[in-house]
Amino acid sequence: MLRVTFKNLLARKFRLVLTSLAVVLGVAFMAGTFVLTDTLGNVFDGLFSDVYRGVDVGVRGAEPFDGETAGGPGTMISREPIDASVLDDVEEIDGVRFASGFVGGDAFNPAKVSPLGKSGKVKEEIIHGQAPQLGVTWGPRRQLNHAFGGDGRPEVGRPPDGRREVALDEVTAEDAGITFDEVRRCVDDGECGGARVQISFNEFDPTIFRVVGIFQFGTTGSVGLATLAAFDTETAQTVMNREGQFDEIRIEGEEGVSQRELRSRVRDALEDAGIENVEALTGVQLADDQSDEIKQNLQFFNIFLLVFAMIALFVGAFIIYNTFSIIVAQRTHELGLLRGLGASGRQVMGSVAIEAVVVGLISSVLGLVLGVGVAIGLQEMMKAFDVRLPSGNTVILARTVIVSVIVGTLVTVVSAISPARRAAATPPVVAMQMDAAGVSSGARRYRVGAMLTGIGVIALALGLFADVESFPGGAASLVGLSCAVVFIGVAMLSPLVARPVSNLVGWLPARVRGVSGRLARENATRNPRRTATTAAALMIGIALLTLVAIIGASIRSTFKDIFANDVQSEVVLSSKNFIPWSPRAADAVREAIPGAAVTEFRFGNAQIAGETEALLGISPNLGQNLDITPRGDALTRFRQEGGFLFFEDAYAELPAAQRKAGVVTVEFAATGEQEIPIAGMFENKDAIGNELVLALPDFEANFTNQANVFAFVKLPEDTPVRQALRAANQALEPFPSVESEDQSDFIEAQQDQIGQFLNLINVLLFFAVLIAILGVANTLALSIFERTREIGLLRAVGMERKQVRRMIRYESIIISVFGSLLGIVLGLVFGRALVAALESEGITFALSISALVILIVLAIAAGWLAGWGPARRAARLDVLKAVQSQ
Amino acid sequence: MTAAPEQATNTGTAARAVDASKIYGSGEAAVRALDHIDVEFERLRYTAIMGPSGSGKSTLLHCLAGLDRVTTGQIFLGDVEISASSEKKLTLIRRDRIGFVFQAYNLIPTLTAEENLTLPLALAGHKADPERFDRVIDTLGLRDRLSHKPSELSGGQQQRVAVGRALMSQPEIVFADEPTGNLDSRASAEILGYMRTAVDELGQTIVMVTHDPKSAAYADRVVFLADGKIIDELVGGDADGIIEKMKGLGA
Repeated sequence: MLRVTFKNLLARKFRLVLTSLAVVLGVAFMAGTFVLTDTLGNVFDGLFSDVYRGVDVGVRGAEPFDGETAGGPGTMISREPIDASVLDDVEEIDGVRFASGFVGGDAFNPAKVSPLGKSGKVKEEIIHGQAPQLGVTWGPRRQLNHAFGGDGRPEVGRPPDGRREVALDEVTAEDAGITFDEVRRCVDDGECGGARVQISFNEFDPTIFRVVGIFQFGTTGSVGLATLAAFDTETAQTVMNREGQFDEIRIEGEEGVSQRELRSRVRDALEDAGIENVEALTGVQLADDQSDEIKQNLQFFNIFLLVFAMIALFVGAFIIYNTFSIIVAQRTHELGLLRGLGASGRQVMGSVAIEAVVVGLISSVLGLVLGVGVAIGLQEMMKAFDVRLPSGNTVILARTVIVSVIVGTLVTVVSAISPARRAAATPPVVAMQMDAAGVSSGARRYRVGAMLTGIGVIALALGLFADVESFPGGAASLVGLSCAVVFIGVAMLSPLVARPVSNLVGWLPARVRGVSGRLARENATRNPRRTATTAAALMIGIALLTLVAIIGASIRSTFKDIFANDVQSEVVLSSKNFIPWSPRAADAVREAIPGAAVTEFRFGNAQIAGETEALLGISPNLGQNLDITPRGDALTRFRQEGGFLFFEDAYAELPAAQRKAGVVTVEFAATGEQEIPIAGMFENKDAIGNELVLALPDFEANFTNQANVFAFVKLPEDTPVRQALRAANQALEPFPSVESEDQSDFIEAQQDQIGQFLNLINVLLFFAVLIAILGVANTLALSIFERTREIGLLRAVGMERKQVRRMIRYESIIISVFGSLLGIVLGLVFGRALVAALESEGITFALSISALVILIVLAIAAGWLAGWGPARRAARLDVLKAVQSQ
Repeated sequence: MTAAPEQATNTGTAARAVDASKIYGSGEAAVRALDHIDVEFERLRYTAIMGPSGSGKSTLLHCLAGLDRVTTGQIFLGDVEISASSEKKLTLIRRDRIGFVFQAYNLIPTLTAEENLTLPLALAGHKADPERFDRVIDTLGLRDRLSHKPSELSGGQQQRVAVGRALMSQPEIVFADEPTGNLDSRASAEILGYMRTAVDELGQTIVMVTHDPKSAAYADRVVFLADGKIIDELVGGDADGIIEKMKGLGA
């Protein structure tokens, strides 16, 4: 008897671990997300406090349009540069010890650094994924240069000085294959053969520089992923298109003058001098401001990851619910006895609830600990997807601990409430009579399930198709929430179909695997509610994977259709990771292929009638490459006179007076208010994806930054594509970041980029699938525990261990496939709805059958994996003990 | 009625234990459940093993059936020494050469009566011989219950299915462990009658553990166990004779 008790305990411990794992993994994901983003935030805090350490006050261009952006591809707005003469005014101010002009740090105008091979030939450019590539200024004053190594000194060599000199950050130098020795040889002996790189900016032709210094960027951790190229002040102005201008003036104050005092003196002086559109901030403010800006992006990243953590926890909740349901059912007899002996329903419920609290607390704490590991794992994973992040000392905020523990415990307790209530509500006599698998009628469950499903679907429709900006968190959170409600509703309804579908799924194993297969099928359909809840956990992950597959397929096919229908170009110029590239590259191609029509794309923001709008600057020859279905002679006027092309809906929103006059009043950051003529309207924005198009000459006249995102090339009739590509490639040699591809290669490359992002999402969703697999394993383990005697009997009458394993594995696979079928159906519904909502963006529905097949295969693999452990346990049962157990 | 030809010609030993001991635990706490037992069970006979609780009768049955292993000594099934067989081989022996009837919960709840009846054959990947099948279910009166699940059968009917399952593959020997322990007296008599018929008419060999003299009276021979030893046996006794014998043994 003692042995049986001990076995029981062991079985419980195992069950406890499995149950906890579901919470542990979800909490770990969440905690890991917090830890990762907090750590990153800390690195950037440290970095910018280094950059501005010696700076008491900084002066920079004011943020245009109060920082309001239009969203879309032209989201970022850069500040306008300030005139170099401001530096003279600043130097006059009482209390200023030293002031120095700074140029650089503009992600729109990246520093493209290419190493040179032994032969002196340019190799491919150094790009660290999405990390910025910045040109910066190494000014004359060491006190204002703390960004470099924290003390204004390079690790090796000396600061750059002169038109052909540059200093690189250590990681970039390493990537360029430049050693400290080579830098020393260059500085000391003038032998710079090994210490050379080619650098270009958007409006600065590729030029070879001597690397005279290598520095560490800041002192906190290793940011090390951004490319930084530092020049002396004058050179920086030249290469980054800031002749007679600065991006920022950094001021070191006299002893005894506080930062705030100095700031107000600077502000007064600037006002007196009548200088507008600039702002003065203290060094501390500047550091905070820049750090906050990056942290805002981190916030987005944080939310992105948190969504997946929530999904994982949500799946975990199903498993906890299921586990507690099974445990309560198994203990019905015991609980009934307790009730019979006088325990109140409240006491029974309390005992289950306490178990849930304990499980929740323990797993939350474990999850928290594991979260630190997850943070590292996430970072490594992002690296695999080309998203490189800096690393630093791990930061665990109190918020991380509190939120993780509370959420983890809450999820557990809430999931266990309904089973606990069920335990309490069962009358003692019924409980004592009912066998372990006793099931109530469930009519209420189905009513509630149907209701939830209905509510979820309606809310989903509202979120997708109605204007629900007032909902907290916007339409996206409503859509997410309603999906969750639908999941719960469908999970509650799914026992209705569990038996027939599992029977159908089990047909094949029953057919080909004899008794083991048949028993597997029978076992899977024995308790439809348990099967359904177990499968529901997997359903969620599979539904979301299906959704991603549909979105992926839809975007791909839409992209293909657009090119087939609306794009006439044979060749497309673009760059990796959408890094803006030089218009000079387009000019070079234009020259290399005589008669070719090169249509360039540039993005910028401007304000029309007080609203910030995304403008797309396009060459006047637009019509030769793209079909946008112009109204009347819109394209002809656009080609001849420039001005605006409006998508018809956007045109309708213009003030009536401006429509009548045919002229739009636009506020540009660089040139202020301008009157731009309207060339006409177009009806098809699929190919350009923007509603406002500005002719390139007007764009060039009104924007400081000129950087292409794409250029489309229509070849002359008699030029073969291959020959044109060869010529283009040759012309692009100095611009290694720009790629020329024929249409099909371009489509493929773009689709690869989309595919990579979707893969990242898929990988994150696998977390949810993994938890679901644990859930299936958990249910199976518990079911096997219930069926010990039965399995013993089977073994006694001659079932081989192999057959036992097979039986359990197939049961697991049947449950998994059932769950994934539910998931695929739901995913298809969600996907269809989402694509319908995106129809106005030109997205059309497409389905990849192969993706669905892969999901089914995945489900089978998941089932196999989930069944592996339980199958082994079942096969190892001691026959005699099993037969004798009750 | 003629018995199945093979069994009819094959007289001799169906199973035997040679100097078999079974010890649970070790050292001070060691319990000797079987103590140097030598016993044979002839073919085509119905043998009952009787003894008080803790006498080792169930242990003996389990060891004979290959569900448990003796600590020392040997167990033979026919000429095969099963005490030396691997676990895998034991499983196959159980499946192909032994039939089982347990006390209760004897059937797989998810399978119908018919599927339960043919389970060992199905596990081996064989089909039931239709003639044999008909004969067994007719003997046991199960024809109109074939498509029922165990939960739709009475206790007696369930146990009849269990007996049918044990007989279906014409095993060399059937082991029954208190087969009527959970049944009322009418159903018990029915089951014991069927088992008697199986020996007499289907040519089976049955070894049954029981503590009930009335059940044991159905057997050809009764072996008495106490403290892990065979202390006596009785051939052809009725219930009263068995009770007398037990009184004499002080059990």
